[in-house]
Amino acid sequence: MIRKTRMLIPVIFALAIALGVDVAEARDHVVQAYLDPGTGSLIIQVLLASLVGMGFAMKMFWAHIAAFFSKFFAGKQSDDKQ
Amino acid sequence: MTSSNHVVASSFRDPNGFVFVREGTIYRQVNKMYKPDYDFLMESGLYQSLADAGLIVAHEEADIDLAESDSAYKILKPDEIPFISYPYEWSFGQLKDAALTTLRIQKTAFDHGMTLKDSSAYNIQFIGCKPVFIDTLSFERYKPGQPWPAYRQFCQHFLAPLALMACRDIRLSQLLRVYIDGVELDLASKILPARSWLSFSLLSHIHLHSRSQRQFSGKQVNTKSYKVSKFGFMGIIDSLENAVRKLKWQPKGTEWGDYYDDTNYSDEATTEKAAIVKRFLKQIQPETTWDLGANTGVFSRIAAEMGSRTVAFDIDPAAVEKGYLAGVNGGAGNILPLVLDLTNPSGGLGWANNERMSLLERGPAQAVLALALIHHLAISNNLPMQKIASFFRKLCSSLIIEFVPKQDSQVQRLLATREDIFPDYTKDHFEDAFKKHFAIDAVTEVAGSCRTMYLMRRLSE
Repeated sequence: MIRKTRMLIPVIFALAIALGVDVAEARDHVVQAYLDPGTGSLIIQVLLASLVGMGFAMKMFWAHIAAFFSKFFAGKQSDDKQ
Repeated sequence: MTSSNHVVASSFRDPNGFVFVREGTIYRQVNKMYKPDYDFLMESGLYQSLADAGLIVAHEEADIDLAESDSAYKILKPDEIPFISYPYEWSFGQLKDAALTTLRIQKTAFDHGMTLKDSSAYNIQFIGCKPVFIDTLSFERYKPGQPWPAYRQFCQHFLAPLALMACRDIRLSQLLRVYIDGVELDLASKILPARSWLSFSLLSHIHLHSRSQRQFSGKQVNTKSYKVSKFGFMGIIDSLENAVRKLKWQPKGTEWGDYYDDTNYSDEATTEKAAIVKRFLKQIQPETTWDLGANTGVFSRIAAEMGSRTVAFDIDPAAVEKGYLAGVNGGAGNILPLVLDLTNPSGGLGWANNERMSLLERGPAQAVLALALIHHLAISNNLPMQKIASFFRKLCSSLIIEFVPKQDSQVQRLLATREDIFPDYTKDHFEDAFKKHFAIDAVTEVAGSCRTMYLMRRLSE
């Protein structure tokens, strides 16, 4: 099931590009750079960031939970030894 | 390298500063317009954090009177890089490690409230097998909501060539020699195999990225403002890191990758040859050594162990990759393995043929090793002996060279499929040609083989 969902992500993503979804909605920040990032590159980055950003937030969330429990159990084990 | 005073030719795009040479020493001028970012870099602890981790070339602040112009805010004196190399000379592993180092630096910068404003592969240099970031002016303060300005450049300089090398053909690294700002994504998308569309990272960062570039090319869109959340920004970097990590290439199946398993040299002769190389190198005591046709760098190690800064060149990306991986996994750390076709060495590239130095501009080396090489140049590439000798003269002041005669089975192998049109390929003719440019200081037969080793010293003009 998870595998199927993962397979769907690129399809949805490709459709968004193909249909020309207006991704320039949330913009009010001025970027200053000596390097031209390129219009198409910026737009794909904004789209992609909204996709992978959610995944990254989840990853961080689970990493914190895992770190909390490993600390918790490590602490408990050392308490038991004492 | 030249010791005259000049601004380094590759340092002109960034208005925040430039690199210049004064009395043979390299300096970097930081312009006043970069003051807020430079101060933030130093005061936020980012520079120290990167320097402590060996990720950035360390510098000290030098006398402001050295400034090349009134716009100077600071003059920096960075540590010296032993040998400047370029991405088209790196093996797969080197380009991959350079990419991962760039992303690691970006993540560290982000933790300190900064970001990289560009991600050129030319900002990375190798000290031995260790990648180091050299552009101190590439950092800017992160502004909440900003996208990563270096995203396109990272995809072109790192992800696209790595994907092409891993998924299509290792030799496609040479596209970087043609496309100095990285492989254009529409080209990469065309060359990559169809299966790359099933990889989410290659689909998004290369295929759809190139289509997005095409779709919005020349269109009137307000590009000055786009928002990317903090998690979105970190997600992009994380996604690029995953994409790079997933790309793998095994060094096998190329021309010379298994050379040492398939040679006519006996163990005794190899040991003898190594002893001769060591004896000759002790006579020269070179600070810099170039091993040409080094394969995986077996003989380069002798120079490196004597403290010489050694570059091991070979035409075969598999041999260079093996040498690099050996260095990374605990081998001689001061050897830099590089891919180089000696019959077509890296030329001066970029604007005015000046941005990237040719091989000759990066020399001469104090010592050159040319072991089991002469027959490949003279017979496989039809190079006259005089031309080989005069080229070697430009490369080094001392030369350790091995002559491989026609009766050697390796030469016989080269002649097996072609007519022998090389009546001049003899030891006498070889010596005559080289004597015009070098004095022969020592000649030694390699016991257990029919080969001869020479120690030569360049004649003064």
